[in-house]
Amino acid sequence: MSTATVSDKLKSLAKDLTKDFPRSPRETLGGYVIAGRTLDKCRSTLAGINGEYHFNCALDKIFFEFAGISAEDFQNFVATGATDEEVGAWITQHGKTRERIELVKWNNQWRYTTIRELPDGIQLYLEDYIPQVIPKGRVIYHFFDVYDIEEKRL
Amino acid sequence: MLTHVISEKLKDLAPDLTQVPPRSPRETLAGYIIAPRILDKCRAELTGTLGEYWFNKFMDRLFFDFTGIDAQAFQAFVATGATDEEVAEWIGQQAQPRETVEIVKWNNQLRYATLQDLPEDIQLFLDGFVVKLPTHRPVYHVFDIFDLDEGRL
Repeated sequence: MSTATVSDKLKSLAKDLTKDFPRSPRETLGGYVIAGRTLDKCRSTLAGINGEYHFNCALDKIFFEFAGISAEDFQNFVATGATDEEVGAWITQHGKTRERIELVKWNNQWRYTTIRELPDGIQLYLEDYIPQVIPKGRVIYHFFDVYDIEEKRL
Repeated sequence: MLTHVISEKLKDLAPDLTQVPPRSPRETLAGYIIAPRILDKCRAELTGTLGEYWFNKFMDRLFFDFTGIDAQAFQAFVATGATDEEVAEWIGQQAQPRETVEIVKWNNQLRYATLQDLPEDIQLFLDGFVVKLPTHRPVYHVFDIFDLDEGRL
């Protein structure tokens, strides 16, 4: 459970995810794919308007683990009402120090991950989930397509 | 040689593949991709409306090999005029028992297979075919070939 205090600034930044979608996992923040989406869900969770979205879900954990950032620390900083730019700078300061090429390669690995490369449990889950949320005839090429098609960006 | 008695029910169910394409290989039946397409082609072969399609070759063999189902037994059951639901139930009974995750992983292996993943002889065969496809989008995965050729993509 979050113990972060929610600022008015945070409330003004938080997307109402009962009516809107978080950003695509393809968008970057602080140089990392997924992070922009993670931030949207974090703000909305703090503001109590996350709807069916979960902060620190399996996807978010992929980002936190690679960046070497704790979800709780991230949430506490976001709760101050930090802007996207401030969160991006915070991620750079607190994330694991890496060569830029490592980060770019990690981004590309996730951009081009297909469902067959995911852990068994996620493949099993998606086999039932995709027919429920993806219009018939649409083809999922990469894992991120599931989010972008479901949320009507593709 | 075709020895099955063709039921009226089968005639109603069989697509005329000289006029319409079979279902996409991406569709599933009994949890298996390819299976609805095979079913369409099987029904059409039984009723003589297969056109330029083949039953029990290439991709169909992948399904029969994976499930351990005999193609002739499949065809004999389809010839009774079984509906999609009945064929799905029959596949469930006849297929080699597997954990669901094994079937899902097999589905995903094929869904995301690219031309470079295929045996050389099939790559050679498809090389001539792919250049004749509509050019509004590339072939990313093997299944795109069917979906492009048949107007679904």
